[in-house]
Amino acid sequence: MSGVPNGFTVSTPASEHSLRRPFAELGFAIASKELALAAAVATVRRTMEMLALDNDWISRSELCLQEALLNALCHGNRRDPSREIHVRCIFSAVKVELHVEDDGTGYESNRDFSGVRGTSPGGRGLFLIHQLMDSVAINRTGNHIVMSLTKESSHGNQRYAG
Amino acid sequence: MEINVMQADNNTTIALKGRFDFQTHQEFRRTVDGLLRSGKATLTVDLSQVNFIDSSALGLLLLARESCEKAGGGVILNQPKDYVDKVLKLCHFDQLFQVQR
Repeated sequence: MSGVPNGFTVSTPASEHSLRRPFAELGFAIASKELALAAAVATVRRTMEMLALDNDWISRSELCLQEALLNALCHGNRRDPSREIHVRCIFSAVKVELHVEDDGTGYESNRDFSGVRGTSPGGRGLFLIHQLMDSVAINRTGNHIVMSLTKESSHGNQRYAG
Repeated sequence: MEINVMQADNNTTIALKGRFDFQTHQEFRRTVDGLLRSGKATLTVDLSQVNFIDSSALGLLLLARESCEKAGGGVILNQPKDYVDKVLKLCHFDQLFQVQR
């Protein structure tokens, strides 16, 4: 799995440097199975609770991680249990960054979300991610999503050259 | 997640407890289908004990609504709490369902 994409690092005043420094990082790979997905979400939630992060951040991260993993499982890896999903979470006092990468060829990331007002039972996962995270970036291939929450709330959804 | 069905007079309530998500799919659908087969077309889904909901569960609620409306009834969402209520509002479910708060 690739690291933090180029262009994401923001230069900061020295006084803020220690706040921005990650104090915990979690990285693992899971098989494309529902039970593994549920365990991954529970692990990240427990980690955030142990780090005493903001409860609202924990709730947002839990739901968005689950939605990204479901997309990776169903659309990216097409439920093939031999394919892996890679997860990386970086935590600091002012930022949470969640990476999910699958082995697939990607799914449509620039979707029109107007359909969420309708009654179709699907298509709300990526919409929720865009609504709940401050920043969402999906690589050109469409198989690697980076979601972040920041104290500054940049609210920008970007594409990066991954 | 726990699913309990309660009958009182003409009201049928499906009471959910815990996480309402992709792992609940089969059990919830089986419960709704069973109630529809027994002639219960208007269902109240009690969300007061649900602490997490994802897009899969939202899809399940929409499928239940469609089935119940075809049978002449509907689905009422009861007492969604905190974050569950926020997710329902984000997805405009308060415009698609009767939500009792």
